[in-house]
Amino acid sequence: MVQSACNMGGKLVFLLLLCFGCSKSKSYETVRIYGHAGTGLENVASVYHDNTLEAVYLALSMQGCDGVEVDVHLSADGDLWLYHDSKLESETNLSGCIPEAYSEVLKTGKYSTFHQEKIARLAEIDTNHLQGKELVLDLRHYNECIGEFVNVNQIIDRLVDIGYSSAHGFTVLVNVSRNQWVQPFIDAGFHTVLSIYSMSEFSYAENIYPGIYGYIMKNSDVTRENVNAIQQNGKKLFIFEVRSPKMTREAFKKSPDGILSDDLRTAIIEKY
Amino acid sequence: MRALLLILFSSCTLACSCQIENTKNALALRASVAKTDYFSGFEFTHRCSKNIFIGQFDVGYSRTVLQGRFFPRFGVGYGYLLINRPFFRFSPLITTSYSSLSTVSNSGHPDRWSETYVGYKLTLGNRWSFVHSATCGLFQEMTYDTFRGKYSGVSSFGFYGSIGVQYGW
Repeated sequence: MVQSACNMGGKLVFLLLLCFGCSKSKSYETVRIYGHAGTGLENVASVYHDNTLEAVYLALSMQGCDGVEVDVHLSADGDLWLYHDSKLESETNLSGCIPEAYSEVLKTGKYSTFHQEKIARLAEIDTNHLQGKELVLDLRHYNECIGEFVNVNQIIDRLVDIGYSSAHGFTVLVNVSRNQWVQPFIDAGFHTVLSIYSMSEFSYAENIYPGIYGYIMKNSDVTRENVNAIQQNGKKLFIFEVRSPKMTREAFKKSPDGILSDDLRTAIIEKY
Repeated sequence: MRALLLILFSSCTLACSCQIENTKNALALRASVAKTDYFSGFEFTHRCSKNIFIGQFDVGYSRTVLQGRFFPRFGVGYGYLLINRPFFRFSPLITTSYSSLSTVSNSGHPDRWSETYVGYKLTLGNRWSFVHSATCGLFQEMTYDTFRGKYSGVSSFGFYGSIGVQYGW
């Protein structure tokens, strides 16, 4: 009885591998893969915390990864720091909001994780790792601690200071969520990408900001037809909120210009 | 890798030397969750007095089945039968495992993981039994760094939990 059960089990595994193990994925050569916040946001399989130098370098070192997206906040003294949430106490040994904090304090910030990675400045990213890749900067426009918008000119000035307006060997894409920030970044010469949630927002933005580089949309908000419409206007479309194998395959099938993956390995396997 | 070989060697040696005593074998079909994927596979255990020697083979469900990329995981372990009651057995255990996955097919540089965990195993039943184990500990990831052109490793915290059905003889 045990032997027959083993035989059955073996056959079942063999059949599963035969059916699924050899299926070749469709070619998605034109779709670029970006690690969301490094190797993925809230990715349990990731060994490093999101938005840290370690996670960024690990993602960039992976074969098949075309770039990374990081979340960027402006500090009280005008420097740019990588961090996702609004409040520091949710993930680190510090408290408050980055726009309220000075670099001297932020330098002491560490994540409450196994590796206790430090909070990183954008300028600390070694651009040698970025050669031939793309860096997407998700610029945070709101100071939640005092309920005010951040000064866009300060961010532009700092990006220019650290050489990101004329980067050599890699491309910087600036992702903004506030419409009023689009034109200042276009004027400053940045590839500017706007986060939108519907095609009506796309139509509106196309009329007002003809120089825009592209758009970022949530996977669940965009269809293949929407992607076509945006690309036919000569604009790029990037998709985020891509995690599971199913979501990743769906995103690839829409043929965007890039996907911001929360599970980088899943996306690379799907493409290659 | 050295630790894996040492435990494998020790397990085999001890297991063989106990064959002439009261041996008990069991084969479990199980589903499990780990840091890297959901797994399903088999676990063979050989009991010699209070010593339990374990061999495991799993495949990662998401990678292998949903993505068509074979993701095997091999493990060995040792447990000590601390509580042995009718229908209930409890054993603390230590396991070590190795898994490998090629994210880019035919790249020749698969990602590799080795995990060394401690935890427990529960067995409910007799010949046919329900088994559950939970372990956690050191998780080491080795990825090929295209920037440096060589493998680099990083350690982290990992976990592994499983449930399954076991047949003993």
